[in-house]
Amino acid sequence: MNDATLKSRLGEKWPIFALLPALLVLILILVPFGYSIYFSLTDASLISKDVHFIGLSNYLQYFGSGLFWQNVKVTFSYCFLAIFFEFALGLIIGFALSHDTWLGKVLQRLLLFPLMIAPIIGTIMWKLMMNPEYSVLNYILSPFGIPRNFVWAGSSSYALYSAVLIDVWMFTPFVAILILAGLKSIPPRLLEAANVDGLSNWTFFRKIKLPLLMPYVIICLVFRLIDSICQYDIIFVLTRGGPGSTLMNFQVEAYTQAFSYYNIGYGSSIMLVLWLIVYIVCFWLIKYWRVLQENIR
Amino acid sequence: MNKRKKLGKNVFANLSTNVILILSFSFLLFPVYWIFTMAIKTNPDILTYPPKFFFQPTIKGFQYILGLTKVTGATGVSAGVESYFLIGIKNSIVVVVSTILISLAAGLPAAYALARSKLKSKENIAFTILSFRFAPPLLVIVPLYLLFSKIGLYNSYFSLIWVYQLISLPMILWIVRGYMEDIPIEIEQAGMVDGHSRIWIFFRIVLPLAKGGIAAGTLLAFIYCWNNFLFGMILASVNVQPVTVQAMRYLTPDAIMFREVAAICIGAALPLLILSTFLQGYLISGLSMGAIRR
Repeated sequence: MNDATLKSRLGEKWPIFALLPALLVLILILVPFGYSIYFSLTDASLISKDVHFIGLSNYLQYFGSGLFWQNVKVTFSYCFLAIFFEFALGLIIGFALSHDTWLGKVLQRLLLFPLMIAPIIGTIMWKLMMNPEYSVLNYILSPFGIPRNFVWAGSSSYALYSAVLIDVWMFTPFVAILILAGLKSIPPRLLEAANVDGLSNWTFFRKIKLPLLMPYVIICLVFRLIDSICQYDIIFVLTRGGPGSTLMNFQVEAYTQAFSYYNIGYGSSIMLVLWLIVYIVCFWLIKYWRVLQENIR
Repeated sequence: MNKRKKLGKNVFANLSTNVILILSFSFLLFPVYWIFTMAIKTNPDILTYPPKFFFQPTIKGFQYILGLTKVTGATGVSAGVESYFLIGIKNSIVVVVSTILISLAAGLPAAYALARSKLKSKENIAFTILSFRFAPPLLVIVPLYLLFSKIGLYNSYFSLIWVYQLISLPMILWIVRGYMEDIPIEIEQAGMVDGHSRIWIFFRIVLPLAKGGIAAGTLLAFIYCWNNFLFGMILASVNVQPVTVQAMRYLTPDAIMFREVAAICIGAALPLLILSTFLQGYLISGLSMGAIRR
C-alpha cells in the first residue's frame, strides 16, 4: 500500500472520527433509555430492592384501567386548545408585524419575552396574578363579568383553561416569529410579479403565500405538538395534576406514579406509551413536511 | 384621485395593524410588567383590591432574595437569610456553561461530518439525533436517578451536565449543520489543493464561515438549558439545583411571600431578557432554522 491510497482511505474515514465524540455522548443518554424499557417490564419500586420480571402486566393494567383514557383526554384537549389559540394569535401577530409599521418595529424587540422566561417562572408569575383574593386578572376581566373571587386553576371546571391560557401566553411568540420568518422569506420579486399580473389579494394569498408558508407552519406544529404533549412544568407548578385528576396528562401521571407512589416500573411503562405516541405523530408530520419542501423546489 | 384613495386605504391598514399589535402585545407583556411592579411594592400595596397601579417603590424584595435581609432569631442573634436565589444563579451558570462547552466540542465536528461526508446513513444518523428531542424527559431521568443514586453521582454538577446534553447537543448539531451545508464546497476544495489537512480546513475555513450558525445554536441551547426545571428537581438537591428549581422554594403553601416571589421571577428571567433583546437576530435565525433547512 503506497502513501496515496493510505491517505485516501483515511480521507474516507474522517467523518467517523469526527462523529465519535457526539455518538459517545448520545450513547450515555441511550443507556438509560434501554433501562426504561427494562423497568417497564418489571415491578421495580423505589422502596423495595426486589425486582421481578412481570412481562406486559404494567401495560395491561394501564390500558385496562380508566387511567389511560383519562390521560389521553387531558393531554389531547390541552394540546388541541393550546395549539389552536397559539396559531390563531400567532398568525395575526406574524402578519401584523410583517407590515413593518413603526410600532411593529419597536414591539418586535419585545416579542420573545414570554419565550425567554422559563416555563416554571412564567407559571409562578401567572399564579401570583390569579391569586383568588387580590387577583389583578379578575380586576381586568371584571367588565366581562368575572367576579373578584373567581377561582382559576383551583376549580376543576377552569383548571384546564387556566393551564391553556398560560401555555398560549408563553408559546404564541414562538408561532408568531416562525410565521414572520416565513413571510419574510418570500422573495420580493414574487410580490411585484403578482402586482403586475393584477392578481387579487385573496388569490395571491391562496396560490402563492400559503404554499410557501406551509413548511414553516408544519415545522412549527411539530415543535408545538412535542412540547405540549409532553407538557410538565406548567401543570406541575399550577396544581400538580389536580384538582382531583383534572390536569393529569401523561408526564404528570408518570411522575406521580414513579415518585409519589414509588412505582418506577409502572411509571416507565406510561412514559414509553407516551414516547410511542409522540414518535408516531411527529414521524408522519415530518414526512409530510419533507414532501412540501420538495414541492417548493 | 386613484392615488389618494390608495393612500387612504394604506393609512387605514396601518392604523388597524397598530391597533391589533397594541392589543396582542398588552397580553404578552402585561404579566412581565405587573410582576415587576409587584417586586417593588410594599406588602400593603400588594394585598389590596382593586390593585394599585401607582405606588411608592421599595427594593426590599430584591434585598431579600439577595440575602441582604437580617432576621433576628429567638435567641436575639441576627443572621442573614440564606439566598437560594444566588446559589441557584451560580449553579445555573456552572451547569449551563459547561454543558454548552461540551456540546460544542462534540457537536461541531459531528455537524461538519454530517454536512460533508458521503456516508450513506448520514441522514438517518442526523434524524436519530434530532429525535432525542421527541423523547419525554422523564423516560431518561427515572433510570438515571436510580443509577446516579447507586454510584454516588446523585446531586453533582457532573450528573446534571450529563443529562443537559440531551437538550443542547441535538440543538447545536442540527442548527450548525444547516449552516455548514451552505458553505460552498469549492472553498474547501481550494484549501485541499493547497495541501492543507481536513483538520486545518475545519478550524481555519469552516468554523469561521459557520460562526453565525454557531452563535444561533449556542444561544438557543443556552436558553433551553437555563430554563430547564425537571432535571435539576429530580437529579439534585439544594446546593446543586439551578435557579429555576430554587425559585420554587419561595412558594410556601401556607404564606405566599408575594413580593419576594415576584422578585425572584424577575431576577431569574432578567439575564435572558437582556440577552434576547441584544442577540435577537441570532435567536430568530436559530428558531427558524428548522423550517429553512431540510
